[in-house]
Amino acid sequence: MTVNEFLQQLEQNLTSLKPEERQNAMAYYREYLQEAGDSAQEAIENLGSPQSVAERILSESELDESKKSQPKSNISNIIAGSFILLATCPFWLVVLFLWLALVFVLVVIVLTFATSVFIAPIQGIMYMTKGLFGDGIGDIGAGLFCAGITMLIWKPCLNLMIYTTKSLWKKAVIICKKLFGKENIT
Amino acid sequence: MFPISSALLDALVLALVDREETYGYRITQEIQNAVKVSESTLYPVLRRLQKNGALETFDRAYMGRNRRYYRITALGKAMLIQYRKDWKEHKLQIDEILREENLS
Repeated sequence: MTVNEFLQQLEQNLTSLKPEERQNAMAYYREYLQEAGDSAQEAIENLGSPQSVAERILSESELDESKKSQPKSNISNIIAGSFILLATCPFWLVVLFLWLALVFVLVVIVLTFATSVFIAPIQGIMYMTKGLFGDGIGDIGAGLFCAGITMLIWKPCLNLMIYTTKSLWKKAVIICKKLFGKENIT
Repeated sequence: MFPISSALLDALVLALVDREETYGYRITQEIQNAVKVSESTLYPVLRRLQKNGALETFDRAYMGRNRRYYRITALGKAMLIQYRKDWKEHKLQIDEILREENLS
């Protein structure tokens, strides 16, 4: 491969780059091969294929781009984003519903046991005042049992709620960022 | 033999440019004397350092054509100081493990 062929192919592989970046890279490699002078052929072999050289440049510039430029929010972005959101609502509504159902179930379970802690002993005492000691002690026992269960499950339930809420929120934020641009997220 | 990290490569380039204003081809040759990296690795490194503000470029005519020189900036110098410190520490830690037991 001659110097010119190398440079030509390199440029063809850099078309996705911004013009300024492309010119910079091309100037660098043009100069580089001129510096190599008589050993330009050797330099070309050492550099590898124009494709691989281009890939190196492109991957570095992608890193750079993703660091600083987020899609900017504007009217057409918001409209397009809203359409996509509307079109995909069968999916995310199901997810939202499942999440609500999960939170609801967890809250109900914990509350059921927690309220039983108070109600069962009260009922037990009422039985005892009527002389039904067996039933009364049974209910007080049930109250204690519920207290134990409540202590065991409230924390894992709360954690599960927090965890699912957090991870869903994160996903939602990422998706919204992509749809609407950075500015909409506080 | 030992793979070179991108941070170490940055440090080497900064150190070379700090020594004297120099150009891409020479930087590549000098780096290659010390470590085994592909010749095509250097352009992205130089471009990144330039964009980060660690290096700046200027053109100088040479034999009827242009040569792009690199010069270290104040930020680049500060980065180099930090790199040297980090490297010293890293070297000590590696040496501590690699050193031969004294047999006396």
